[in-house]
Amino acid sequence: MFIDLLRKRRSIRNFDQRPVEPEKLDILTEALLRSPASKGRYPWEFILVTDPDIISQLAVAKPKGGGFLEKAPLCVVICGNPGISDVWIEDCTVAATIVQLAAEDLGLGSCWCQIRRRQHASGVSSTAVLRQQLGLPDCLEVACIIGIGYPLATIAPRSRTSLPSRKVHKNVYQKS
Amino acid sequence: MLLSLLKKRRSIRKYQPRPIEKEKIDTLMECVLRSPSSRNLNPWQYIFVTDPGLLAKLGKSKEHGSAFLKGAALAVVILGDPERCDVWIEDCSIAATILQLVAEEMGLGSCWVQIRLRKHGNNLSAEEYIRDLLQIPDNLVVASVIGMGYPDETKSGHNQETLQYDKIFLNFFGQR
Ligand SMILES: Cc1cc2nc3c(=O)[nH]c(=O)nc-3n(C[C@H](O)[C@H](O)[C@H](O)COP(=O)(O)O)c2cc1C
Ligand SMILES: Cc1cc2nc3c(=O)[nH]c(=O)nc-3n(C[C@H](O)[C@H](O)[C@H](O)COP(=O)(O)O)c2cc1C
Repeated sequence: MFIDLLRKRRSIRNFDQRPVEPEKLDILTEALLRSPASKGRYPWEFILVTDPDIISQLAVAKPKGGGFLEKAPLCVVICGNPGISDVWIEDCTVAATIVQLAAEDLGLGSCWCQIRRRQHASGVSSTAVLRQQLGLPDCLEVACIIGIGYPLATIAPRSRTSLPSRKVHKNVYQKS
Repeated sequence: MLLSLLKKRRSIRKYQPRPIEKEKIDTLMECVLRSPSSRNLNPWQYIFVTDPGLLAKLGKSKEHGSAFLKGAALAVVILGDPERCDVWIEDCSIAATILQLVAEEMGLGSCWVQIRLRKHGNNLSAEEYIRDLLQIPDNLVVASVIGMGYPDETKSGHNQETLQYDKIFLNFFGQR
């Protein structure tokens, strides 16, 4: 059940070196392309990176919190074209979420690496660095990179009682 | 498998008048609270609207693309706190995606209503309209509203042939 998947899911940043099988790559690809988008405009493009040299480059695009990508056998770079949709951030996030959940469903682990609004060590934007590394056209922005692979260890699920339930309101906003 | 859910999912905008059972609403609440967020800051809050009068008013949030909320059994208003996290758009969109997938699994149909960057009318944003309606404090912004209910329309899933495989690249932009 999908709900059980949500109950046990955690971000995984340490991966086994085993590659992701081609059949699983196909399923992840189809899942990405099935992501709905505002007004049916689909402003995204995806780059599936398995080349270890390119992955090492991706891992330094954002030094803070991006280093874990180095050990990921698969990185999905999620790009959006603001010229096609003004809500490309939402559309890219829908696809990123779907690929993470599809990976979890296949027994893979994953973690999000935020790129939009983040910087490279030199102070230039992480997006500018990735544009160079991946040959992206100027019309594309990078939303995030999802690192995927077989988990090296499992992380305990969050308990139901730890959830911030005061953040749910009924019918109108209730001040606490 | 999650892919089978993705293969049949469509945006559903027509609903049966039947209410959603309390247990299902509780599960939806749990799932949005389990939504991962950047640095685990959880900058979101949720208003679960089931009051028919409020649902009808939410249907008037935008000139186009929100009217169907009038017939929904439940609308979840997703709020973000930009002071808490600069990437609240991503965090709120993850929750919206999870909510839609859980609804789908429970036999409900749903559709996203974009609020960020959208207008209510000439001088008012859709966000300001909803803020006033649901007494939302000034520090929070309205990202989207997800309307749902038992489906009263059937749509077939997208054919695999219609998926945009030209948007997938391997290792480098332009490479397949
Ligand atoms: C929008 C977003 C951006 C994130 N960016 C990063 C990141 O750059 N680096 C990282 O290691 N983890 C990142 N994460 C993972 C979060 O830190 C993680 O989801 C959160 O701490 C909750 O932990 P959990 O996923 O294990 O439940 C990001 C998560 C989200 C939703
Ligand atoms: C970010 C986002 C915003 C959307 N906003 C609206 C909206 O305001 N009103 C609406 O009726 N549908 C909205 N939708 C639904 C899309 O129109 C729909 O997903 C798209 O046309 C593809 O159709 P499908 O979901 O049936 O595959 C939105 C979808 C997304 C992902």
